[in-house]
Amino acid sequence: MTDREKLLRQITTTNWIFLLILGSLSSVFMSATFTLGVILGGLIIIANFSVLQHTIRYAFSDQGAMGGKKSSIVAKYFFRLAIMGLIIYILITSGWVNPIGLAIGLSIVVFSILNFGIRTAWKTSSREAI
Amino acid sequence: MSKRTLIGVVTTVFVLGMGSLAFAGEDSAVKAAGLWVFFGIAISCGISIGMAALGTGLGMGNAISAALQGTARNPEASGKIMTTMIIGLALIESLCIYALVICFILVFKIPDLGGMHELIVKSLGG
Repeated sequence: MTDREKLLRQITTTNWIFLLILGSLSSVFMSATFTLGVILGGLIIIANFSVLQHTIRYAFSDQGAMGGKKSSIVAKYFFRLAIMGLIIYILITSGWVNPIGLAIGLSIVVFSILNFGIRTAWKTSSREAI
Repeated sequence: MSKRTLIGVVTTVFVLGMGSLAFAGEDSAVKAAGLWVFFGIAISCGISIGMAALGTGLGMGNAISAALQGTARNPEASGKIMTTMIIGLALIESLCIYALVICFILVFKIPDLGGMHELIVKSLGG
């Protein structure tokens, strides 16, 4: 496994860990709709990140844009965005989830990327100090 | 002001004016005020999601352009560049998702029309 695959796998694992932590914390301290919002938002954004990753990898591969399949890549990109917008719309308008919880759930990928960035910066600075 | 903009403004004013006339009853001022509030929310949501999409588009365009330039100059580093680009794109895209969520909240959750009606009645001294 190369370094870049390790990095993406690490971020994906951290996403699931953050979802678990935030979901359990909100189930203890917050209401059921808030917890459902965090969990569904987290699942949506993790799936979105995974599909984004696959689309971009495919787009830059030999079979993708270089192979003349540009329209299918663009269609997949917009389809992903449309599906995600539709799901968020249904969740908010139906009232099944708390919108603040949903927004927190949707931030899970951002949290894990920030966590990764802070840890890398910390490692670099401590290495420089030695 | 171009002809299209003028037509847009005139149509908006006309529609709102007709709305106010339609509510010309005992609490017409209240309903007209509510209509204006809802109009403001709708316009602000439209503008804000447009600006968010503009910013996201510019950010993603810059990121992808820089990544492609880097890959073209140094093809061996394409893997590292692509990984970093994926992470950056996820971060940029999340901003637009936040804007979308906020717009949905503003349009579908905040305008509690019953509560707004009572509030406007109170503020008008009814």
